[in-house]
Amino acid sequence: MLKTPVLLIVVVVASAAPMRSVGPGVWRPLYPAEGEEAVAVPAFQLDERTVTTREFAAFVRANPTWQRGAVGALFADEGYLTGWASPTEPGEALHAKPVTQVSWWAARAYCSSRDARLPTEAEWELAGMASATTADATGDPAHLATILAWYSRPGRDGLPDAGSGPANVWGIRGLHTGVWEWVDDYASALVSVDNREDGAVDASRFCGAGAVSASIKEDYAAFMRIAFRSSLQAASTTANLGFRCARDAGPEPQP
Amino acid sequence: MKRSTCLLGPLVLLLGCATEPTPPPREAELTPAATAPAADPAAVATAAVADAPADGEDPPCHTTLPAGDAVLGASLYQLTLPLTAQDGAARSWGDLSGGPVLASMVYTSCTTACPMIVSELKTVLSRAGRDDVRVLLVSMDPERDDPAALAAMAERHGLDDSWVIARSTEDGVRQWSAALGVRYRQLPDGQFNHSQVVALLDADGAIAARAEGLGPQRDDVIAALAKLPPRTP
Repeated sequence: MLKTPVLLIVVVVASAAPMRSVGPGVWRPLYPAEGEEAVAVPAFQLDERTVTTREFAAFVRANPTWQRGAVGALFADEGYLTGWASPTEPGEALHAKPVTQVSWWAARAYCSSRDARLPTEAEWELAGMASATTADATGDPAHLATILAWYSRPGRDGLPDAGSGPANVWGIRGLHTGVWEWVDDYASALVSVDNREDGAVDASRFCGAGAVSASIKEDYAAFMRIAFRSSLQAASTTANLGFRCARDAGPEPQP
Repeated sequence: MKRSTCLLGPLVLLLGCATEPTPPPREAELTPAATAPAADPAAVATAAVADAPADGEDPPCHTTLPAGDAVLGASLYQLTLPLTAQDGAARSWGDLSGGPVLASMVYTSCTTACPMIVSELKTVLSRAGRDDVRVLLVSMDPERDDPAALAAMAERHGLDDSWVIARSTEDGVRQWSAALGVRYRQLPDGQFNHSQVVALLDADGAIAARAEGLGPQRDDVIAALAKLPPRTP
């Protein structure tokens, strides 16, 4: 009786996070264009947790062109996979942690290798609207307070393991308590005020007029995500930026 | 062709080693961009070099290459970019290599920013006073910008053969915008919000100069262009 669960755990750890079904639902962007106030998001599949360094290490071992030192500057900046013990091994202590120091290109390539893709901003945000009990907790002060608690935790505490923390109503973990996460269309954030230099966010718009015109003024964390995404380039890597994969709803692809 | 094979061979070999799926730049392939797991570098290289040896042999020049060359690692020719030009023909993105390329994004129903980009590019071309510069404008609206729409735009602006206005796939557009650093978003009415980026690529496809909004930065692009060597056939 004991043997079966143990075996199952080994299999799960060696492959990838299970995917959960999310949506359909409606997402209300903070800075909606006319006619875009309510975006219908079709149902999709999303990794229950972020991709771990152990999983990403298996990917780069199978795909040497994505190893640190082999990737061209177009595809990742000099921070790519820094902190790993070697180009193919993060080190035991990092295995359960979310992989970070990964570029958009690398995240996309990893998801492709699983016949998956990065979630869109709308998909990610739809998943992020959910609390443990409801699919749309955007107006719930307790939910917002939980999210903000992450922002107030000092960075020196280190990253929590991928998938730690409670699941939301879709079964997704760590959307607001782990790392920042890549979305496929990161480059659509704040595009209408694109007079930035070197990725600095237009502070006057963001803190002043932007906040007033936003659709949900209380959701400070959503401002933070938009600001963060708008500062990214495709080759960017940071110590607290990871990702999880998504897939269109429907039958599993045949291996 | 013999000569260009020799020149390109090392480039392709290196790119094959350094990146994810990297179909050879000179091959007119229409594969989905960057979706498959990384190809075997040797296989890619072999496919790329026209006179490559038979299976099992090492590709020529392989061992003489400097690993991780900074310039080639930054090359936009690493991208798989399926293109259909305004004449309706499939174009190989790598065909533009070997000389300076001015690269940007537009969409044909764009009424303000895009005509401005075209006009700015014309200014850059005429002030540069050289005929070996190619312009590549990739449409950010692959759904509506078919070759007829692209041809109409070329006609409207009086653009000659040195201009390639092309449609790619949705994924190709996303990769192209990521490589150029263009931020864009489609609006519900079909228009786009987008930043106006013009990038100057050198012969190897590395970005030699990049301007947002041109205007005041136009002179930087012209100055960088003046430093680039003539196109090699």
